[in-house]
Amino acid sequence: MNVFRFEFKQLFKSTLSWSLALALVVIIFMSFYPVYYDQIAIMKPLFDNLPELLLKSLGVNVDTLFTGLGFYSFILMYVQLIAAMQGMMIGLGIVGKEVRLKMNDFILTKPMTRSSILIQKSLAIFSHLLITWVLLTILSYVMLTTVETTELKFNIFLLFALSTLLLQVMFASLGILTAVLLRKLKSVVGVSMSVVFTLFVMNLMQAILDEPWLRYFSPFQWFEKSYIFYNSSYEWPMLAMCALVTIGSCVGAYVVYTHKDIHAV
Amino acid sequence: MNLYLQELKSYLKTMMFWILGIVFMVGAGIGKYEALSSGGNMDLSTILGSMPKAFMAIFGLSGIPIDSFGGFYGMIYAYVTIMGAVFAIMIGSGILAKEERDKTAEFLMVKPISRMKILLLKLAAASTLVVVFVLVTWGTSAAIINKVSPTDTISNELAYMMIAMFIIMMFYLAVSFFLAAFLKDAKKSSQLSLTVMLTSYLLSVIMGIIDNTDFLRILVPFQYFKVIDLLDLRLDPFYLVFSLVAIVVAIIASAYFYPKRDLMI
Repeated sequence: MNVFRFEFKQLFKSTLSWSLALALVVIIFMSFYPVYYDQIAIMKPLFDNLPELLLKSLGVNVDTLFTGLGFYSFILMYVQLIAAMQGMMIGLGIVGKEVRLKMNDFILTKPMTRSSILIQKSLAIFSHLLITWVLLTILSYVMLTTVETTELKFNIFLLFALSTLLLQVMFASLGILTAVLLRKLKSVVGVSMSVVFTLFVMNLMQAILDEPWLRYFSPFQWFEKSYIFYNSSYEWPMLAMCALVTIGSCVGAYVVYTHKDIHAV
Repeated sequence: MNLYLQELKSYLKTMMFWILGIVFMVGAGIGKYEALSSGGNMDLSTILGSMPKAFMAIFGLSGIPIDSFGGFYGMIYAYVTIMGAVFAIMIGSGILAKEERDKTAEFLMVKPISRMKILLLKLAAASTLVVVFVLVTWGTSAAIINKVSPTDTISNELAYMMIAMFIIMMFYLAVSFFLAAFLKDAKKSSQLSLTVMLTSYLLSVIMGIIDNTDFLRILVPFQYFKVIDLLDLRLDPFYLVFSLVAIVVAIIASAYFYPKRDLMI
């Protein structure tokens, strides 16, 4: 368990700054909720009069527009952007560390198997993601209960929160897979930033593209907020997609890492 | 000049991927206009126009009039600019720092060129890559616009948007280049550049949701040149001067600090 302990300890500083960043985003955005509500409250009678069917076809839910939880579901996109960045960066950073710092001969000459190295590293990554997520969820809950004027729908909140964790873990697995696939890893920030932002902008572009098949390749759309609001559950095909990518990446990383040639320098 | 050419060559593969990405984004985006405008009954601008401001902000589209072809292209411009900023930061924080990161700094420094010259040549190479990025976007957009909708001539608006995009990209390039020149630790400087990018992006989202937040504008390069102004063939003079000064200051500061600082070998 030495590798796990070492990496776990190493990650504390990074987890601290990521949690801080996430906390800042949640606090700053949520504290704008009253201002936002004032601006949008005049629209409420208008929306109340619209037939349910029309709203549904537009993907708008009155609850999503005029409640704190609805506002939270808006900002969740940005929370998830940062959470995904964290997942990808520490996945890539921890597993790619030896390649990046040219220390493979150091760790691989220790009396343990490659699979044990990879599993311990992954455990360290996932446990830190869990720590960040728990902090984020508690803070979000506290912020929500302070600004929310009506009763908070706890099960929907939980689904939103859980989707963040699923995305974090998915991006971390993707990071781990990338780290074992790349022969040389130049910049953790560079790779993570390009991957995460590409997927994020793809999600934004869906506003004009609106291609149903593209959703399967756009992780930020797997947990559609309005769907969760209406149905109090995830969309099964998208959840399956998330599970597929996560498990596929982990298994792929394991197979590649235990078999590949590793250069000493 | 060898160094300049060498840098361009080393980024050739990266550049290829980015060019593919731009062509896809611009092509898919503008291509959608044909489907939307010929569809007739599904009028995007009326649907989007009826949404509250905060709602539009969720898609990153606030302040963009979507009732014209120029405005429609403005959305695509906004998306490509986000990716452009990511690209500029990746190049800016990498091009200088990679020598120390890849342990090639000694190799480079014993060559008969001064550090100042190294810095300037690398800056020239990085700027060239940004120019290529902008020109590819420009060329692809012009070609596809011409094909999709030859009757809408928006070449002047397009020119203004591309100039704005170039300035924004150069801004991020200069800032991340300065951070890499100033800080010893490549990891720290790239993380800081990422923080700058994320912060300014999230602030631009806040500015989209909440009215009366114009005081934040100076911190948010994405908001320096609003699409609505660009469509009027206008670049905000204050922010134009401010961003140019900021770029020059960042470059001068890099040239001042880099030749003096210790290298991490």
